[in-house]
Amino acid sequence: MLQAIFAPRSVAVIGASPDPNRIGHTVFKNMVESGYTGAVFPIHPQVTSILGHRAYPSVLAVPGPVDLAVLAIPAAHVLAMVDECGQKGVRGLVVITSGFKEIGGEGKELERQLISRVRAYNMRMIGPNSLGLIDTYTRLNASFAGLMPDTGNIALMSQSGAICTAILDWSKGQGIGFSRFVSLGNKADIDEVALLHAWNRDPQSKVILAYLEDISDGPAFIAAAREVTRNTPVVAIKSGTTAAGSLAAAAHTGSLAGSENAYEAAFAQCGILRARTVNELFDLAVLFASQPLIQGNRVAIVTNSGGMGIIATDAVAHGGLTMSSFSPVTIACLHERLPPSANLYNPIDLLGDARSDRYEVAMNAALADPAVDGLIVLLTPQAQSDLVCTAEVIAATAARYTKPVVTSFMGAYSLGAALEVLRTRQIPNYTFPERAVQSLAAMYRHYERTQRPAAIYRNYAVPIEQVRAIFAAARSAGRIELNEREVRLVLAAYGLRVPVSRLARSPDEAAELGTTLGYPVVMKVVSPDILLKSEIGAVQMGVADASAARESFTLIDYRARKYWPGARIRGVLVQELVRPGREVLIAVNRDPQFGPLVALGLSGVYVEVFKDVAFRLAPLSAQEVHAQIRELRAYPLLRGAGGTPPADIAAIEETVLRVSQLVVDCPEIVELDLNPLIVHGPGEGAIVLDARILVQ
Amino acid sequence: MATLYVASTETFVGKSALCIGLLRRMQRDGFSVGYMKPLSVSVAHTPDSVLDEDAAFIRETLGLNATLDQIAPVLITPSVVESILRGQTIAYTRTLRDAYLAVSRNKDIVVLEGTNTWSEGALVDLTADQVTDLLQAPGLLVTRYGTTLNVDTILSVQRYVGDRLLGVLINQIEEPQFDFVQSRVAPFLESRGIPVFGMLPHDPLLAGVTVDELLEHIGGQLIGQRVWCTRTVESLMIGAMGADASLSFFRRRANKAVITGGDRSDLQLAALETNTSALVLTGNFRPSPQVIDRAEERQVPIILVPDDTLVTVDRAERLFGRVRFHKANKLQRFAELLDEYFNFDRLYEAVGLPR
Repeated sequence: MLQAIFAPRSVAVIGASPDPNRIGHTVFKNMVESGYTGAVFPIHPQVTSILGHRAYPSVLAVPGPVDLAVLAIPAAHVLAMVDECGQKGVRGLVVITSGFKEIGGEGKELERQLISRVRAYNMRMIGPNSLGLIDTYTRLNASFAGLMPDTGNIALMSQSGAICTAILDWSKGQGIGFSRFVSLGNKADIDEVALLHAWNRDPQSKVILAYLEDISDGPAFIAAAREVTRNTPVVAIKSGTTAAGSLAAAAHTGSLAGSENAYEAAFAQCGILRARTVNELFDLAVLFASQPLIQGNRVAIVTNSGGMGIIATDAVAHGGLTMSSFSPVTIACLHERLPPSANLYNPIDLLGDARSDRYEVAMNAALADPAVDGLIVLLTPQAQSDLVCTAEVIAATAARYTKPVVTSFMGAYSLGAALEVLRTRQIPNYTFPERAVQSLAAMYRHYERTQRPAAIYRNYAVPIEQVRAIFAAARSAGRIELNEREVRLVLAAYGLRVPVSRLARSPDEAAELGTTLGYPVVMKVVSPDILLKSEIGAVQMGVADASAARESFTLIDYRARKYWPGARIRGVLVQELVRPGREVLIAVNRDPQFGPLVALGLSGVYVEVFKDVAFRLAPLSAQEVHAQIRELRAYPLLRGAGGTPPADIAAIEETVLRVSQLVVDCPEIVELDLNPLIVHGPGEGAIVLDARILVQ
Repeated sequence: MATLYVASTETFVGKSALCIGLLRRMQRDGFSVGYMKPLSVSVAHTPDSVLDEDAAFIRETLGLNATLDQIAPVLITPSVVESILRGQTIAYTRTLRDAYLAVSRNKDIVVLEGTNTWSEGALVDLTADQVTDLLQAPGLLVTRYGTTLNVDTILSVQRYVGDRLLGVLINQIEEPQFDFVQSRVAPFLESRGIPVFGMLPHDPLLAGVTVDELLEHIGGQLIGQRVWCTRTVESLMIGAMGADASLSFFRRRANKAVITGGDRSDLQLAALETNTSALVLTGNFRPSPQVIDRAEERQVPIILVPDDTLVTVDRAERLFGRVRFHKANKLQRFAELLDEYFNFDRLYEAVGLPR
């Protein structure tokens, strides 16, 4: 759990200074004033005492052991100080100093040397270029932040120091407490993956928040997050995923942003809840931090306004939750104790004159009902409302059950005192009901994930050596695209069906091949430059005989050359005619951060016009493929909707799994397209009509 | 003494490279060789002279003792053209014959580098047809297999010069056509009495330009090390799309130069993620330190130019197609191709060189 970093027994602040204008002074002052109980040593070359603590000229001069050293000195001195720390046996470093990788050139080299020393001394390090870190349990404040956050159970990591200070400042006003607070800086050693591992099953952290600009090691991040989210919810903001945002991120961090689709798939597959706004990040954080985990998707709503009840009910349906159907016992209880005109069915409308007693009755009835998994309490301030008392009652009632309760007290002017009660009693309140519902819905998604069985990865037997030889041949010829024959061999090795086909380089050859394969045949141009073959008429279906084959060759060749003068035309492929079926697209694009991203959709307008594509990152489990295909809006067409015959869905799933294994086995593949995969009826299988593979 | 005229009907088919390749091999096979270029149309002006750079390069490379005036005796400059148009007559055939006598003295064979096209030289009576007749030099026709092979051209050259067409070399044949050329085209030409001395596959290294050449051609400031500039550039790609689509786009070609705005860090990083030989950044924007670092890791040179992207592309494109051969690695590669795919014994026999 990175003891030396978060729970050191003694800390040296290298660069501690008596001058209040220096960062080293602020860091040391924070250390002294935060309530940290271990030994604290200021290190300064000349001064003998700082803030009443004896100062030492070097960390080597400190009498006892030093667990953690905080460095706030110019970059030029950092390496020498790290050497002294290493000799002293220091185990953890927090490097606040900037002037490393973020400035490029020499800074990058300096960072490389820094990290190699840290490794050599077997130390762990936060930073460099970090705001520092705070642990509210060990009362360690090794940062130059202006405030010490309240103690709480939210752990936060941020790649931006400035965002850290802003959050700190804001949360203090909101009464939100943290367990640990880390500014990752350049994350030369400890990065988001290391912190996820460190904070997994941390008893003091009920939820982990992350602000990320880039991810150092996509696959390791996914693996770590998969593990952690089985126990602890992780909510993250990933910035820089729009085109403009990624340009900003590229200029800021120098990282090539992974595609938005890859992030979306990565977060969904590893169970990270993705917040789109900082607001949403804290909506979820506060809910996870203060309320028990929801155990199902059925919610009840209690309101003193019919209109607000309806708005919230709509939000429930949109958010993937359902409205509970109350048991007869609940209805009877409500009937007995609420006014006759109140609505007893979900949403429970207590009417505008409701005071705290009605809220208490309704909440008890709803929370006691086994058909209710979570409760949303709505209040609009009315003349008769006893706001503070109602808030007290809500908190007290919620505390008697192990189901999450959230509120939406709408308004502002008259609500101050009531909101303060909700805040101190840890009932998450949202200004509007939609946010309350969305937060519960996210909580349910997390719950669902914790209940999911472990993923099953299939492994198909493959003649991998043959496949490697094909890639090696392409590489040694300096080619970046496999030729038609190589593609067929690779796909066949991975158990995919491909039609029999041969390359013709003249009209006569085409006619001969057609006779060998048996007419009718399909003919299409083979050229690395021409992607949209059928659009330019360079594909001829149902070529019936030898003379048609000769004519088709000439026509295809002509059209291809006319479409793209100078195109590299390899010839015309003569292919066995495959009977029609559903046309499916499977495409893989290797994302620079997360690896192979597998896209699935129905070819043609479904993909191109409706953008109906489902993305997942390989390696894919059987369950993930199952969900991926069902995520398509066009999925009912595959099942056989509107008079269309059903397709062999199992064959599509198997093809995706085999492709997933192929791209994981062969990291040289940067792009792969199966378009179309022709899918026949259930049990009849699927066959790859056209494919291309790009390698690096 | 034998003479061989290396002829072509279009530019940039690999004539100069072939001359060097033939001469070197002949030297290696123990022959004493001479070289000359009867007619020079593209000449370079230096402060103190006017010369044919290619001819000068070949003279130096092969260590020939003839003077440059003898090797490239007829230089067609604009002022020469003007004086002929004014009515002045200059006896170039005489100049040529004298130079030829000097170059061929005590040589086993002289290789003549011919004109670019069939009509070139008509103004001074030194077309391929006229020179091969004048010096009684049989011609080796170099053609290339671009997207199609122009068999018509070969046949009409044969019709024109008859027996003086010794045979052909088919250059730059793309791999998928190689088999077709070998099994269909070559037998056809042979049956028409046109020997096919060699069929050379297309080689990306020979077709490309180096980053050095690109830098020299478009100018600009180099960021990165000079030694990385020996990388070959086979094609140009323009970065002007959204970042999302860029990676897939850049992956489609290897050994390319990517031309993009200096302020597009996202595209620059995407290009560096793929097989890229150079980044050309326009608008005189210095790239961010992060891009420079990444380029350093990948050893990819960055060229900074003041022009906008459109102008830069326009200028860079002019470099392609006119392949320069003044590079040791290219000459070496071409020599290897000749050793493998060119029938020297058959050529020696055809020109009457005793082995």
